Amino acid sequence: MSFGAFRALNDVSLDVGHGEIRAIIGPNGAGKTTFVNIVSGIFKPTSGRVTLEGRDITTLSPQRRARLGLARTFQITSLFKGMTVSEHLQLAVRDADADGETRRELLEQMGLATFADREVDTLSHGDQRILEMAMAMVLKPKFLLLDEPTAGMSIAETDRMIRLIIERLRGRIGVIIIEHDMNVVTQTSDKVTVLAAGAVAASGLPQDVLRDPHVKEIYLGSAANH
Amino acid sequence: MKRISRRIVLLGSAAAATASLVPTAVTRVLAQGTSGDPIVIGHQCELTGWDSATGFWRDKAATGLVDWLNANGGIAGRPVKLVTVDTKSDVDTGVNQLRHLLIQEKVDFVIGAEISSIALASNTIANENRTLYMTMSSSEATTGKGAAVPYQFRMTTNSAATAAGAAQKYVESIGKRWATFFADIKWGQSERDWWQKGVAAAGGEVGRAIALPVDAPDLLPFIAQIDRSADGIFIPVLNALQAIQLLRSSGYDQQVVLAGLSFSLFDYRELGAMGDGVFGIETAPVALKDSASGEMAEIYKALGIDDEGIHTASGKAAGTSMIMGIAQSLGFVKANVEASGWKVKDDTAALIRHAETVETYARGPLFPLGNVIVRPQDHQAFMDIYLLKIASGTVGKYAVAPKESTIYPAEVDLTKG
Amino acid sequence: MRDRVGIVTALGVLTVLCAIAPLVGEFWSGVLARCVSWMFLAISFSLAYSYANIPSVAQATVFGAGAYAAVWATSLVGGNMILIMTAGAAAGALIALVFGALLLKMSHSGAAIGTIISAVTFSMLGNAAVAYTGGTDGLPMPAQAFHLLGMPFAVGPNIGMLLLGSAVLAALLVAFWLFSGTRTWRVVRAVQQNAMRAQVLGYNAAGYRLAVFAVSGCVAGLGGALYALISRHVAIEVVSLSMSLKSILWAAVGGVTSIYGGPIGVLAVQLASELLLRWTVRVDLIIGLMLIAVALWMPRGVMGLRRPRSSQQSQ
Ligand SMILES: Nc1ncnc2c1ncn2[C@@H]1O[C@H](COP(=O)(O)OP(=O)(O)O)[C@@H](O)[C@H]1O
Ligand SMILES: [Mg+2]
Repeated sequence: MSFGAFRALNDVSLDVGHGEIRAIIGPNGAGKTTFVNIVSGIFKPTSGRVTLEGRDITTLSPQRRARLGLARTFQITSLFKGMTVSEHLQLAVRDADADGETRRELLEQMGLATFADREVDTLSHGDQRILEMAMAMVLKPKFLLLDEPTAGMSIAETDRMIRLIIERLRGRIGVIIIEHDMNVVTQTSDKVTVLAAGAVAASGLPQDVLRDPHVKEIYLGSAANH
Repeated sequence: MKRISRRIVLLGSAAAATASLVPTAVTRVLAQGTSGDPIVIGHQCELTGWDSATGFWRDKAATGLVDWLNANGGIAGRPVKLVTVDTKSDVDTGVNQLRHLLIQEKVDFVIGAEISSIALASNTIANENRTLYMTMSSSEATTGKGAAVPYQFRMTTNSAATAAGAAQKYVESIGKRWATFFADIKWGQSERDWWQKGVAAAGGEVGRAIALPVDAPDLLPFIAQIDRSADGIFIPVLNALQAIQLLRSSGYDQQVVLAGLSFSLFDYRELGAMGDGVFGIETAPVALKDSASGEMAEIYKALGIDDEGIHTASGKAAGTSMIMGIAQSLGFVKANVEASGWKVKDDTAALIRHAETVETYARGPLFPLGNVIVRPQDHQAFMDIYLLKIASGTVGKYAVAPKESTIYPAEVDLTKG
Repeated sequence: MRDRVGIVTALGVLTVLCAIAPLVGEFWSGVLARCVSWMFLAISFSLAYSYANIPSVAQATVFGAGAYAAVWATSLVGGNMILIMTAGAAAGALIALVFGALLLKMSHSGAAIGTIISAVTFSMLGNAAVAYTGGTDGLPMPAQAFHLLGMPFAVGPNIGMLLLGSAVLAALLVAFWLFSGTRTWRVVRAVQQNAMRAQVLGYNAAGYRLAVFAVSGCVAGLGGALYALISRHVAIEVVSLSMSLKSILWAAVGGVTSIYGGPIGVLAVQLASELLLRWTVRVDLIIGLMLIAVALWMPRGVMGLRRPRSSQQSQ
């Protein structure tokens, strides 16, 4: 993937199986969000392919991919001003006749039920991020891309997010999670891929990768050692 | 005239902002030797906006000549009251202002707008209101099919008439081969067509006519297409000043003929040395010596214009065609009110029936340059056309195209039904 | 999500207009009738700007297309006013679809410039196509026996057209108000706020924007048809850029983020101009100052003066 002459991603290949949670870590500017944007269809890759369950979706629009079961969240909270929590979920469901029961259940399970009729602007940052997750999950996607879901969250909020991922996603669908917080990575992920300067620097089981001195060097002084 | 241009629209608002604070309703009753209720004449005028250069002269003429009328017995012994409104050179405002004159001011007669779209949108409304509308538009379409209405007369000339009369003279004196460089809008296109007809009728020929799009930022590429071997170039364009400057600096030294009534749009002296060899088509000359008319001298005096045709207060060279149009429109109203015994607005239908029987308006104070004939079928007047030429910095009479040579076929017959 | 204060205000304004019309006389009824036709234009700008995210400087072009279509339709099918208004609305929608399809391929600022180019191009086309538009002379509405639902109807700047225009506009506003409570409208607002977010939820953002822009064109075209019936003459000036700028001005004064602000904006600006014209030729200057004042102290227009209840505001 190139922006002009700049190669943001170079020869990055990832195969995430059904039910697998894959973490992508790497310093700022490594190309992690760019990768998510390519997979979700926001960017068209300069070269390369994206497949979902064996189907080539490289040329499909983001909305087509979404309808095929590819969901994502954004690194920067992207909710709609002036709309309530339940309106957000209705938007996410798309189907007018979708089961309101399921939505209410989901809200309860995610701890958002008491806010259902509040406008999202009045929610705490943590609740807003949880809502983003809920919007991605309500459609029961086949694959989910999470771009730094815990960014800016307190420790308690982060724990809540970790539990959510473990309880509701692990083993059920394919997930790519971009994360800076190594605690989140080790608790949720089956495998870790390290991106640096647009290329894969390492890949493997979390405990192996995080012990890799090369990876430590990449992260030296950065968010990993907290 | 005519036209609209984006450039001019923008300039118009600037002009509106800088124009002196003229009250929009100018009311004058200067009864002297007059008695009875005033006859109210409304003037729908382009005081501001892109056409305010010509509106300036119509406004000056209307106010000055109404004063003069009141000092000289009024109309049928009654004083005349003038109510002037500003169209802002905008069709919606113009129509609203006309309705204001008709409905709120309840004027007896209207002297109409010069911009053709305003004039065309207005004459239907005046017609419905049974108020005589003296149009000042010079688009021939105003008295043509689908637009001519019984309550409208035109005492000024139009594109068809000026081109028909002038082409013959210019072919005789300048040459047979012509090029045309025209604004690609309704006005420019109709000037082009009438010129073509006139030149052909006079045994000449017009080569390729070059169209200038309204919003062309640069005239040069278009000017370069003009046939260099032509004897003369006819230029009905919006920005004649710029066009002449570019023609001259690109090496075209042919005689250049401006479209009818162009000298009311700008002061010819702005052309400076490049003005030499530029011709105009007007209904009156500028300097008094060229008209040799005591009546014209009287009008100049009433309007504060010196013998050379310079308006003393503003320092501008007079837009004589505008002044003539207003004078003759007032003359028409005066003559027909007096001859038909018009007393109140309900008498206007009878006034029009009478006017349709009057073929000639003889030379007099408000017809200062000679007889004017009015065609009853389309209510269009025909008058002598003055071909003017700029030489050594002043504009003088070059020739006169007699009114008979300006007559073209009428499209309608209002006298039937 | 329905803006109750907005709809009540707008309907109230229209009701007052119709109620005072018999009292203010023929002249003012005509002025108000024309104002009502312009309200459609102001509303269409708000729709395009606030809900299709297209800051369109070409709305007057679309309005003009509706006006010309009305004149052409009249010469083709006669005085059936329902057909004439339908022709205007359809022409507006069609032009907007074509414009919109091109504009959506451009960036936000590119789209604004794109609308200027479209407006200027159409203005030039209109000027050149004299046979169809009458060019700068304009085109008269053919004299016809006009009729509405079988009843004879006098067109022109009169109280009948004021009532008709107001009724059509009121119906349109009520329809919009009802629609603004639907799921579909919620998607429109989501797309308008964050197209990319809406896309990854599975919505065709460009499609929604195009649809809203086409609706805004339909509204402008309908207003154009009413304008043609009121003025009975359509000049190329109607299609001009300066007319579009006026529509932006009206929308800004009324409050560009609320379609219910359009009627108030048109009345405030036009009635002020009409009255000022009696006293001074410096109308444009005064209106200009008024606008600067609005921009400084009332950035959300008249509709923005309400207490900031966020759900209503964003409506
Ligand atoms: N739309 C874009 N245009 C140009 N450069 C971009 C764009 N998006 C991202 N980049 C660049 O690509 C690189 C990777 O960015 P990103 O994927 O956001 O990194 P991160 O790994 O922090 O998520 C950065 O250098 C960034 O500046
Ligand atoms: Mg990132």
